[in-house]
Amino acid sequence: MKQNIYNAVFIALCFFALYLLENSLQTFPLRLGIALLVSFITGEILAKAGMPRISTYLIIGIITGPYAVSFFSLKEVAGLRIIDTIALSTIAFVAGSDIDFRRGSIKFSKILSFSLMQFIIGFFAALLILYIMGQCFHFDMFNNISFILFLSLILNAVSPATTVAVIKETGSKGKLTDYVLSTAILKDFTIIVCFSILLSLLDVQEGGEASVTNVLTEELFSAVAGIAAGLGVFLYMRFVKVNLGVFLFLTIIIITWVCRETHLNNLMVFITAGIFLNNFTRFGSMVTESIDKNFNIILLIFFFSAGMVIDLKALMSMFGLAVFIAFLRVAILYVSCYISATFIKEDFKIKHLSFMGFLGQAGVSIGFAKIIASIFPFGEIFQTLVLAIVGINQVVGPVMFRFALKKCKEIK
Amino acid sequence: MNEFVISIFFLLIVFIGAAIFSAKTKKPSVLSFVLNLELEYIIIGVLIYLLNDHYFKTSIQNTTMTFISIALCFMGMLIGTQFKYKVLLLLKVPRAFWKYIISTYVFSFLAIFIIFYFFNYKAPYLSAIILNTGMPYSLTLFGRLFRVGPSKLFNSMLVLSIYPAIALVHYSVYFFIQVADSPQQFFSLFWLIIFTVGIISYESQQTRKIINTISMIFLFILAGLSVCFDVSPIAMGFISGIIAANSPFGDIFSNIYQSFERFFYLFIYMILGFFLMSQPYFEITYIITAVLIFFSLLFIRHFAFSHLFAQLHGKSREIQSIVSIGVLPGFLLFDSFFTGLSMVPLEIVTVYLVLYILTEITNYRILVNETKHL
Repeated sequence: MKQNIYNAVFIALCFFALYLLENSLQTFPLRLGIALLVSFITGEILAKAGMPRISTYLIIGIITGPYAVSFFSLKEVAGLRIIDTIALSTIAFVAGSDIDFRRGSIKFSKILSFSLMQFIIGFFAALLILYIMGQCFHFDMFNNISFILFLSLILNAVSPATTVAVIKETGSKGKLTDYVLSTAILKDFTIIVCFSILLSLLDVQEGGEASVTNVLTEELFSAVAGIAAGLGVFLYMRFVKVNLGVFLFLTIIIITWVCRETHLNNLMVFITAGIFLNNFTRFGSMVTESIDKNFNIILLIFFFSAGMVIDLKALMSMFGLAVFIAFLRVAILYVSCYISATFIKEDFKIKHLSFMGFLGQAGVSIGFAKIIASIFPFGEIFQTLVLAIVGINQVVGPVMFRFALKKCKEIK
Repeated sequence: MNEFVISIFFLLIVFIGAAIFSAKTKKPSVLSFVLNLELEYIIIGVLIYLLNDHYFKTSIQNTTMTFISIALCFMGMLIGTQFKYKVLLLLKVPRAFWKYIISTYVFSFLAIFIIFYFFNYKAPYLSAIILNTGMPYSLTLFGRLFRVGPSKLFNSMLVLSIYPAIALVHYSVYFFIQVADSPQQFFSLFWLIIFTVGIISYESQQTRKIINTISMIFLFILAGLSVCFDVSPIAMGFISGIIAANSPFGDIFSNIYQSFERFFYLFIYMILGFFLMSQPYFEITYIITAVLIFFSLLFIRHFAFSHLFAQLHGKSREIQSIVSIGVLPGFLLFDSFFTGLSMVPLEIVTVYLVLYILTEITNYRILVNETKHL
């Protein structure tokens, strides 16, 4: 009790310091440091009550961000994007290094069937329901076929970063963990490809130049670049072996920058590099161990800055509809996971609980919404709705996934 | 192309090259000794400047200055965290030891100050503080390469471990007295104490798992405080480092910072090389200044008080070798450029580098000679 009072006083003092500091370039590093400290301490306190740390980081990010108390301006948040991208690359690298198709307890064919079936069922179910809503219940925005096609696709999107974060935080191991991680990555790839196909088909009608070939080429090159990066790291680990942590840190920064300059998908590059290292060399676990020591600070930065970009105004303006669609998404995910798990003859846990692992949404969905906003006439409304849904899912998703892992006894 | 990425890119190349190189040369020879001092990073800094100037034409100088604040805080913390419980233990050290260390420090300082003053340098007092330091790195390196046991180097090592602390205390006191808007500087100290005490008290309630994250955030806050209040990052780091080291998890704190120690040394060498090229000062006056300081340091630190050193080791003879000034002046130079103390002229970089090389070579010769007579 005494400790809690003390911690509360310290957090209040930190907020007071944030309040005192004016929004200038000179105070930015200090404000960021204090805000990160507040997020971290609050995360640790609430973790004792069962709240995932990353959800707390997100919430503090929302509170201190430009859409709430405004301790940070929009420009400053935009300036954090490079750090955010580096953190995402690191998370993707760890995610890839955790996937082991050689010694994994589940066959790759099973995971592939599970994720593809889940995606197909989920997509068509969402499309049907949204279409019915538009036709029968007079939701005007759902009368536009492009609108509901994109929305159905985005409702199926997941966040591999959130999945990895919860797994790492809880230290979970087991069948559900393996299924959710592998499926999240496969679904992410499938959705990126499908989005580019949809965009190229629908954008041509709008007079645009989106091309599915370009997207597929980018993804292919990203995978090749990932293998090359993995090979480079392997050679270093095999022949040099000195200061691995520092080497990985620098390599991640450089490759992230290369990805940005050459329009490669950094998520794909790092996941492929990690999979290559873990499945074709003996150094995959060393990568994870080296990054593990500082993984919490990476998660803190990533989810804190992810919270800062959640648009509260958008969330509030479409709160009712967003909550309804979020519930609808939960139902669709449950049904699609149940049918897919039954098809591949999986047990009770995967049938009834795996859907909770796919609730979290983040960067990919927001990225899609921004692209649509810049191309289609309905883009602005679409973006606001998606941002509101993502905001809800990103806060609720980690809590639910943690609950599922605990229920399956995969948390130590 | 972003300047930060260019810096990191070159650093990566340098790091791989040095990692391969340092993994292979560990022989007891002068070449191996010099190479392991990592002086080649100064040359790489020079090359980066030339490459940037020729191909990229970006202002690495401005970008690196923003990262320097973190590096400087780190260096201050690194030295501060060396003093876990040593503050109290030092009081039990024999009086002869204090006589030796204070005599060598004060007389070296006066000699350097007089030389700078005589040659009309802009800030002779501050320059003397910056160059009158010492670090035990070359002793450790020599001991490792030539397999000389720590007992033969104990007192020299102890003196050189305390030298950076004395230099930093001197520097911090000078900083807080000298800077004109000192109320603001003291306000920064108020926040520093609040955050240091808050973080340490919080961490003492927690498990060891969180220390890594907390120490990184702490470093960030320190760098932020120094940028925000325009105070010396190295002094900030040093003060909080001492407090942190003496907290319940002080040893973990020290280990975390020490794991990055080498990386930051290389970084500062490269920046020195870069600055050497960006503001080239190769006048004969600077060389003469460096040579004069070198001889005065050699005389004071090695010959003048050797009788006091003899009292320290008693019958079992030890090696007396405290001429080396180490890499700390590099950090102090950038700290003074970074903060309001920017009156230190850039030509001091040239003086420092010449002095550094001379003292390291002499230190090596002294070590070889004294090892023979043990």
